Amino acid sequence: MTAPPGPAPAAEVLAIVDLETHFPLNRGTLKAVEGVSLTLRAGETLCVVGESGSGKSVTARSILNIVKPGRIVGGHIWFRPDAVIGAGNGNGPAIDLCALDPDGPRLRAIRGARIAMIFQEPMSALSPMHTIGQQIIEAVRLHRAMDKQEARARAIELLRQVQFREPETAIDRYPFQLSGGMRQRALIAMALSCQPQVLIADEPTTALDVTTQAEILSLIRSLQQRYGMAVLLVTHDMGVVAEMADRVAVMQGGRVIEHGPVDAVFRAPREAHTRRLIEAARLLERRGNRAAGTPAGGPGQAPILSVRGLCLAFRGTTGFLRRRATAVHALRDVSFDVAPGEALGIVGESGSGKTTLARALLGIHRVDAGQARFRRADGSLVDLCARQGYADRSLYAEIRMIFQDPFAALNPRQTVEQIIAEPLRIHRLCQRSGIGDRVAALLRDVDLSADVMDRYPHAFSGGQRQRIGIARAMATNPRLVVADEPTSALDGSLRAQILDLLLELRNRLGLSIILISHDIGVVRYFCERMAVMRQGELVEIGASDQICDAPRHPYTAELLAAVPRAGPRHARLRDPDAAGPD
Amino acid sequence: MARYLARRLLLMAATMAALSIVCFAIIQLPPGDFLSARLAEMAGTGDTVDVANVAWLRAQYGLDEPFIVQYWLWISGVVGGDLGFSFELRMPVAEVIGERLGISLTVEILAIIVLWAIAVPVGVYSAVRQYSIGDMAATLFGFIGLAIPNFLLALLLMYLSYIAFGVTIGGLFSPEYVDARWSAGRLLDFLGHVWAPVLVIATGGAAQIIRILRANLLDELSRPYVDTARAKGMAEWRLILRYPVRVAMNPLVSTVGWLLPTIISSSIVTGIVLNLPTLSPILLRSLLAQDMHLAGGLILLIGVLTLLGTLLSDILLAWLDPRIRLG
Repeated sequence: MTAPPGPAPAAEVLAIVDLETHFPLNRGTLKAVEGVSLTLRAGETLCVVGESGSGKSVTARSILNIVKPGRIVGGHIWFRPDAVIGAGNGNGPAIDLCALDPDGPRLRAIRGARIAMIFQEPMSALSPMHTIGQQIIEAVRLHRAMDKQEARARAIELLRQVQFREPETAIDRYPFQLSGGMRQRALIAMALSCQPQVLIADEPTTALDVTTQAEILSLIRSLQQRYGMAVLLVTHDMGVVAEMADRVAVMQGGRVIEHGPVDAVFRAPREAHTRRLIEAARLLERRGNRAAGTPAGGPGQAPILSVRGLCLAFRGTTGFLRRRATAVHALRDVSFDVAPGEALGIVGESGSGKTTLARALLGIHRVDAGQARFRRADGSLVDLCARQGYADRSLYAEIRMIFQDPFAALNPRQTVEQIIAEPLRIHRLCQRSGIGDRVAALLRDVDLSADVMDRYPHAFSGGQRQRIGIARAMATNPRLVVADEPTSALDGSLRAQILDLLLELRNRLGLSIILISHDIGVVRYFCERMAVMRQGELVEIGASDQICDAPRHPYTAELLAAVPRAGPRHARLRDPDAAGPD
Repeated sequence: MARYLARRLLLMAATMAALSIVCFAIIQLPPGDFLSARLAEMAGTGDTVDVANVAWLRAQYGLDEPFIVQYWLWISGVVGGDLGFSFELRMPVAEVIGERLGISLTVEILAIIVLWAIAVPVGVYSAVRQYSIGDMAATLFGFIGLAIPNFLLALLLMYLSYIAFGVTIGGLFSPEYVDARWSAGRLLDFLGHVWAPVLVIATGGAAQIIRILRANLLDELSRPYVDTARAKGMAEWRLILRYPVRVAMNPLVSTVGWLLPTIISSSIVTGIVLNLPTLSPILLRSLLAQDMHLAGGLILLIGVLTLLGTLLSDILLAWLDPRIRLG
């Protein structure tokens, strides 16, 4: 063979051809991947994007054949160990990864050494019983002939490369002692331990908040350049695609429906589905249709909730054998008002105290100082944070909560009807005979069919479960709803649907809402006013548009900058000056 | 650590004090006492009763005194190391317990070793190869083991060994070795007998452990950290044993301490059926005969073992699980 004329195309380090991966179901099979063909060139970043269930993760996992209980039933995955950037295809033989025994030594010699993988959930992707050092050292020693001391030195060096502070001590930490972002760094260090040619990243930042996401993405980018790795990045977020990708493959229903260079796909998407994904990511760059219904009340009217000087510190001892007294100041002198019919957004990173605030307002945490006066339907005032705040249980009918995790927030042993009817029964808001009709009406309000009443939560998708959770919150005709990250467990287009549903309910029912999110885009979309929290303090509060257009506090600006923008031109990471924190 | 232990030991002492009152009260609940029960029995069989002896015993142990005085007499003795006197067996309680504690301990520890040696590999296999033939067989064995009462299994074993080998199994020693000193012969004889109770006690317990381990491990096997280990290139069995099994064993380790009190209380019926010279049959006998010092001593011992076992579990778990040690 002669080399092609002109600049040599980058060698293809991976070529997926007609891949089919199936999962056995109780009846029949789920064809998760149906005839996918993709190529990954040495040193480039390919983003595989799609909604949940599109087969993108299964495609990525098929490369290393980690798809249990599924099985690769057709196709080839050619891996060229000798492919390098800027050269033609190497002359060495390509290995068909699909033809190797999934538990056999040949594939195991490639896993972790030539092709490494990181996963979505940094919380659970590390063993809770072993230190990160033990887990990284093991990865090193599986493929390299090193003794324990050398491997430990190598692990410390890897931790330094992924920007751990004090890697010499961090190496002996257990995963639960680290934040989500740090765990993901540890996983990246593990993946890099043998300098692989290919890094497969399956939704590496989905479980992280936006500022951490930006850090992790820029870390991956700089390590990629340093090692000349090819990266296959799986994501549902077009914003991430815009930041990272050289080329994009859009998946739907187990097939690749569109692929090409990132600029072309963003500028002129061929498929309607691709346009929808881009649209869903851009949605959060502007405000929602929140002014459609004029909220009842307005400025000048007495606030429905008036919070003054809330302080709360978690004191306690940690450690079983070596006890240490600790105090975490989760809320420091937090004050704000919520007008009737208003939506107030509370934004901050994880650990900023926003969830603690919600729990304090619901009487779950006892505050050290301050009060939160709530104006009840009959006009009387009650301090929610006082010891006797919720002594009158009927208050729980006026203030309701929507939870973050739609999977954990519904009792798996109750039917949808039992779940939604429970607040009605507790507060005796409904005749026994009328409960069925009321539940049906609530289900229609959240765009679910009334026939689903007898089913159990496991029969529903994440988005549908969140709708059930919303119906449960609305059951008592509440006046104030506290929504704690209601969309962060959902992917792009579902997020938009749920936000629009909440907007519609709010406009129709004149609800006041406190929406808590780490994503400043979600808050801008949904709320007239937002408050920015950092380490327990409210650093900025004001009209959403104003804060987003001209943030006064540098932390707010940082949060805004971290949100990935759905256009390759915005991608900050391409700008070498902006790449990587320090 | 030292402070923690001191606090735990102090709490244990308080618990023991409360426990001793409750158990003494319960023993005293049925009307009458050991002597009146004994007298009625002797009168029934037409034996003569030594009235003077009875009166002396009553005075000696304060049987006519109010409850609180009797309790005081007993507990002050116990604290001083005198566990009292068994009326039924006509020997000091400490001697009765001392004689049988070693045997009880040996049988129970052997049973626990056999139990874990069966249960852990089977449980791991069962989870890793869920719904395979082997798993189904283990499940079947498990449910049979759970469903058959131990004494029935003991009877079955006795019957089968008699039919098949013409051997009667029962007791832990052949008659010629019962009171002999320890020797190679006695040890062999002991091993020849002990397998039956060990097997009976182990099967029931193993079934339970297999089910718990299987369920725990099934949860752990689908965790992302297992995939992380696969993506590193680890061999399948090696990674399963290193990661998910380690986590799945935790709940079992935390119950290890609960096995301590079973040295006395677990195998009462089995002990009677197989005629074992262990503590459990004695406990039942003493309760039936209202032999209050012996019963009180044994129940107190169960209490001590329970508390020690819990402490042991907690320390073991903290040692094994960093989340508890440091969290």
